Amino acid sequence: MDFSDLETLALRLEDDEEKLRQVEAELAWVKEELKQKPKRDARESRFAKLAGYQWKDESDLIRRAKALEEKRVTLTNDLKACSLSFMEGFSSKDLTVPLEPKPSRESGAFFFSFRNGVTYPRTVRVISRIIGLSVPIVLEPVTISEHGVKVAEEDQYLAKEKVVETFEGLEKTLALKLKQPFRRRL
Amino acid sequence: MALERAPIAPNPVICACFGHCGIGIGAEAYRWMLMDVGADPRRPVLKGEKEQMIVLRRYGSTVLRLGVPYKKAEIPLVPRALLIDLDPRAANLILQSYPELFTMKDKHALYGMGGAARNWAEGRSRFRDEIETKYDVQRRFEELSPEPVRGFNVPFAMGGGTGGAFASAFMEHVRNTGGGTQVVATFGVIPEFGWDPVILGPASISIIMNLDYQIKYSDTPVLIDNKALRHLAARFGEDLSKRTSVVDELPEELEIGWRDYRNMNLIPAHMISMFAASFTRETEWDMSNYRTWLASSKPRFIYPWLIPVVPRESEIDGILKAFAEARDGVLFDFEGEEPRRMVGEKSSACVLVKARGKFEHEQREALRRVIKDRFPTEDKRIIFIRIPCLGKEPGGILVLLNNKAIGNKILSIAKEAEEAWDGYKSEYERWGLKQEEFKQSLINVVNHFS
Repeated sequence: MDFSDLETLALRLEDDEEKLRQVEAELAWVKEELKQKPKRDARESRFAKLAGYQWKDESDLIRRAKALEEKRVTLTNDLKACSLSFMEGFSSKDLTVPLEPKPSRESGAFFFSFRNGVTYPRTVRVISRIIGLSVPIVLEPVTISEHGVKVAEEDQYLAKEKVVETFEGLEKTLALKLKQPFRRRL
Repeated sequence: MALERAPIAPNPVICACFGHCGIGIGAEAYRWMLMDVGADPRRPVLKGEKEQMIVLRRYGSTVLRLGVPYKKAEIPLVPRALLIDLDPRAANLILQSYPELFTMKDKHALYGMGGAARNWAEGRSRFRDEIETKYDVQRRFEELSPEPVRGFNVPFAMGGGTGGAFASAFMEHVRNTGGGTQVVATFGVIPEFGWDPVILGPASISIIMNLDYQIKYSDTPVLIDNKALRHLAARFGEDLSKRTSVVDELPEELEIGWRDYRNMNLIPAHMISMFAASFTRETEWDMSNYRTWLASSKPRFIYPWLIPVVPRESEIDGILKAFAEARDGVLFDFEGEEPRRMVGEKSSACVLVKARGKFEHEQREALRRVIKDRFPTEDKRIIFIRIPCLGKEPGGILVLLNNKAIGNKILSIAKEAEEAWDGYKSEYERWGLKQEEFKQSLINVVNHFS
């Protein structure tokens, strides 16, 4: 597993999240309409009786609500599975973070860009959201952005050590989130 | 002159006690040390050079200082202790019960305006507002110790609002103002959920924040576990009840809240007295040596193993018998896990041996075998420190263990804290602990203990 795979998963995650948001908004509207339905139906049927024609309920709100609910459940499950895959991928021991081996110097700090100038905006966004941090992810003295990793250190080797420690910290925290509740012995 | 022959004591070490628990343990530790030097803890005075010499040989003027002489040339022994709490009741009770021990009266205490609601963030914020800015903390140190302060012993509970938060802010304060030479040894007590009056979620958050501060600012972070203390206090109840305690001196109607912890507090008091003796009596070992021992360790924390829990003998053979009689105790609870399987490759130990007479090769090897059997450790990673046993005082062994066996328990608390955060977030953010800071601390602690 490397950052490209994570970026694909993050793309799917964000895509599914957007879809879920739309489905939930639509479902909320349909449910509100359904709440109003008995009142409206009564008015329609009284009007039909007065006007002397046969009223028939032609709205498909119930069917729509059912379909949307099914879609919501599917998307939620997909999201959970995708989120789990992302967390497992990120916290797996064989994760590779494609950083340039030689950092550049940027205003007193070392900057390790992602190889070949590739950016990983979604991966960084998803990690930050799962952990509960903002973008860029700042874990003193390391800052992780979509372009690479910046370390406020004087020595290149110390900077590399800090990068390793920071990613290990993130991986272990995600692994902790994935862990089943601890068995308590009373 | 007799005094000139006494070894020069290392520079002073102040015991800064935070919150109800820290004050209880700190006061008990001083009582234990005074009993060790044969002084009356209610009115510890010296009556001449001979007694001064005895005291100087046992704890030096490191943890105690000589006060202004009373009439009849009696010299009071004054604890270099600072009792700090938001709620003034605990410290007041101790000061009032020991008026002639804490002879510097209010100079031994710093108060705030009342409890911190079991909220670490409130505690930290109020330390800054009600202690750091209101009092001249540096001046208080100078009053307790006109000589430059070498270090601090800092006992506190980690699951409440005041002790853990104040200790955190205090460590940071010392690091930022002490010029880098002062050594901070912290004695953090992990609560027993379901027994101690703490709230699970907030207490877990407090522990994580406090651990992060200890990682950053403590040179010798010692972890003690209340569950283990409670079990040991019950197991050795009879022996402990024979020792006198601070609690015995409190007015009966105010004992509630202290009585339950009487025997529990005596155990860390014994441990702290051994720890202090390691650098006050042994000329080859300095408090700062603990810093170097732990500098590259991960986790950089230690937990104590007392042999025996309640001291009786002073000869090494008698002390070693405590193993066979199961009178020893580890002051940490592993939640039923077997620690020997979790210690890791770089496990190490610092063994403080306070005994009368010689400590022969065979005795050293016997002790080494017992340690390795329970906490597998390479021979070369075990440090032995001899502490002379003086007068009639009983001896003992304190094994300070540095290994990964404590990790699982801390990680389970980290998980609890992580899950609790969303529910308590607004309460913490109101007092200045932002999500960003909490999450950074969480990651740091998880990484450190994994």
